[in-house]
Amino acid sequence: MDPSWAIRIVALVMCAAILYRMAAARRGREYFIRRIAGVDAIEEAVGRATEMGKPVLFSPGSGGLDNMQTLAGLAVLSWVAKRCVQMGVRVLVPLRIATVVSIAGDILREAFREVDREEAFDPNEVRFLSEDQNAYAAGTIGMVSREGVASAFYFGSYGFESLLITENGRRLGVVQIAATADYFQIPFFICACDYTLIGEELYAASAYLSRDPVQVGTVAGQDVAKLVILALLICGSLAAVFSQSALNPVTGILGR
Amino acid sequence: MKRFRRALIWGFTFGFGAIWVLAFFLPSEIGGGIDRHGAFGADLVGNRLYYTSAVRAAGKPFSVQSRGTYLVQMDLDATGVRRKMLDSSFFRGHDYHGQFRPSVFALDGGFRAVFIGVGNDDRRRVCVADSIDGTNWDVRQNAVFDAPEQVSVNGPDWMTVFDAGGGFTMLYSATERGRQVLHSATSLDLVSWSDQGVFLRLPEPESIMSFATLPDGRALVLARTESGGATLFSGKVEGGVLLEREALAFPELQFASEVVDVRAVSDGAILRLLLVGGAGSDDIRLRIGLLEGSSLDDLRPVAGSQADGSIAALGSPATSTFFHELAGNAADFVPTVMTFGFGLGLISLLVLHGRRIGRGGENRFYSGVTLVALFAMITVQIGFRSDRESSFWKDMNELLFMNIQFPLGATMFGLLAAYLVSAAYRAFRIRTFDAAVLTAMAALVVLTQVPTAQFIGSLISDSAVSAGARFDATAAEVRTWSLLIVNNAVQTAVGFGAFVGAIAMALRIWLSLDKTASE
Repeated sequence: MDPSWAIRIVALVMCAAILYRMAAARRGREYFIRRIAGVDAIEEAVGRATEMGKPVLFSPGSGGLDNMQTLAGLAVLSWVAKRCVQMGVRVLVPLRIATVVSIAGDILREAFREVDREEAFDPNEVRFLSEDQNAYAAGTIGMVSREGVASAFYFGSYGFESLLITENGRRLGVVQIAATADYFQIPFFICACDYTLIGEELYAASAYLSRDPVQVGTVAGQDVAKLVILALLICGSLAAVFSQSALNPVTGILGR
Repeated sequence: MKRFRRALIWGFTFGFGAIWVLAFFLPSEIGGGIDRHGAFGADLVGNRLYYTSAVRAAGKPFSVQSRGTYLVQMDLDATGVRRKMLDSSFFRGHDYHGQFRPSVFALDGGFRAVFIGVGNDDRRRVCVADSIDGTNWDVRQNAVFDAPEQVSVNGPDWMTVFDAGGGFTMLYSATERGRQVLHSATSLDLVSWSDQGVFLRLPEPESIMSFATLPDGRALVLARTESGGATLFSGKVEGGVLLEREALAFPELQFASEVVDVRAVSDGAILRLLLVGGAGSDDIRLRIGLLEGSSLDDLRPVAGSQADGSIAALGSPATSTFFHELAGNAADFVPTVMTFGFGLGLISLLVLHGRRIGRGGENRFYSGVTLVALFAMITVQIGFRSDRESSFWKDMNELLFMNIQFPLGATMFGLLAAYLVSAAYRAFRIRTFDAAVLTAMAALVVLTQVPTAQFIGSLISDSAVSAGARFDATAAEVRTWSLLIVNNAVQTAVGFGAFVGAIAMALRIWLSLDKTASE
């Protein structure tokens, strides 16, 4: 069934706002992104792993490549991998979806290539565990405990395995940073992790870390899109209130 | 070479994404007749037919959808011109998503149509429109009747109104123990309705699909039986049951090998029957037929009907469904890629554990178990799927999947309960003001699941029990408010942010705006 024209127009306005700000950022305009404590802590977590001489674990979640959260997670992996390679820290990437294996592997390889150490890249650090949720959780828990992981990052889409993995990590004293837009997993992460990025912060994380103009422009564009939604919410609420009333100026002005 | 490769990737990503973007922004269909997807839910006033059509439904054959429906009016004359009866309006919430099953009456000074509106909350309510000339309609702002939620959770999906002499009676469908029964409501002006409760229920498990009153006071009932087939019979409704039940044969009509709806229209001594049905799997569209005769045994399609017995040919199909079909075909590409991806995952697994076994070390035993389990599962699945009758493969399948994998998965899931408790314990330690509010709300939600105050009252005195019950009722209201209003508001806010973020991310990927690692 077709979406209504109202939805098409709103989608168009939001896309235009995001693209405009992206283009402006590319031309050199600077936008401000507020501090996100969880993202600041990524650097500290990598530093901790360096000091302890132990690996970090990065999970891009349980989603496939059709899930935007997975792609946002992989963008953060790119930054974390570069920083870890610079510091000489191993990065372990447990995966639940097989199609992500080659992309995550490429990201890690590129990180090594950037510091001219491609030969040090070990493809076995990117591990496909299982498509089964329970087996994936068990595999990741095993990896965290056997490899003696110092810091763990969970950036992406998760199911109930979020609590299984992070609660074990907490017991083992791992510094954990999570980010997800899955509403029902957010409380689990908040309880079990040291820092949690909620909803849209997941998408802003890579922009905040890389300071890439396109990514920063995207975040600035999102603010305009959210303003559009806010304005629509206020207008919709007013229309709903007045449409229940006999004195309905909205229908009076615009006609039925 | 590098530039060429980049252009190739960019072109492929952009082209592939553009198919979905265009399918979203452009109308799925351009052109075509107003009732190109079928016609159902009809009524006849004089020579004018009022009926329902709908935008494309991805439903099954003969499905009558409610969302996306709209009303059409057509004169049964040589012109056969049809036009939309009402337009949806953003400012009319009760029929925003659809309008179907009209019942139209000629009253003093004009016409009044009663129909089911699908609201912006997806609830179906009865709405009313007025017209002076029977062509231009003016819909009332709000619905005139809302079926009680306990009998119809989302509102009725079938409704008919007839003149009962001295007033109007509305029959609407309600769900009872998984089958459809009829409830009734009455009105003098088609605007103010009074619910009358159950009108007719058939013996279980029969479900009423459609109901019509005949001029002699008897009823015509279309029912669905346990086997899923439809039966047609007549009878007399008394005290909510059908008496003098008499099975009838379906009229032989080419367009309606399956009948889904029936409506009687009396015109003096002539009996007129509006019949809705579909012809088969080749053409899933519903059509309307108009039969007339002196009795039920003597019904024939009216003069001027089509060769298949339907009253009018459906409108011409849309001239363009190009992007939607293209998007559907392109989506078939995704499972292919996924299959290759799964192969990559398998290779990654084999290489990792194979190397570990070859290299030796303390974990090689687990790697060995993993590979043995992998090959055992693959072998058993191939064997079992090749010969499902073999008791050996059946037993092996049962052993590996039901007796090993399933309990192992359940064990992992069972751990969740213990982890929930320990996580909750940490979260609800009162150290800050925020934690105090969180703990208070959590305690309220947990304790109001059961009548706690009532129980405490029972330990004190009888009068304290009723005081406790009052407290429980108030506390439950606070709980419901916090869950439905506060929690929902937060959930929506998080959802909006994530949704906008996902759009921005998708745009970046689609337009290949991210820097590649090699740049």
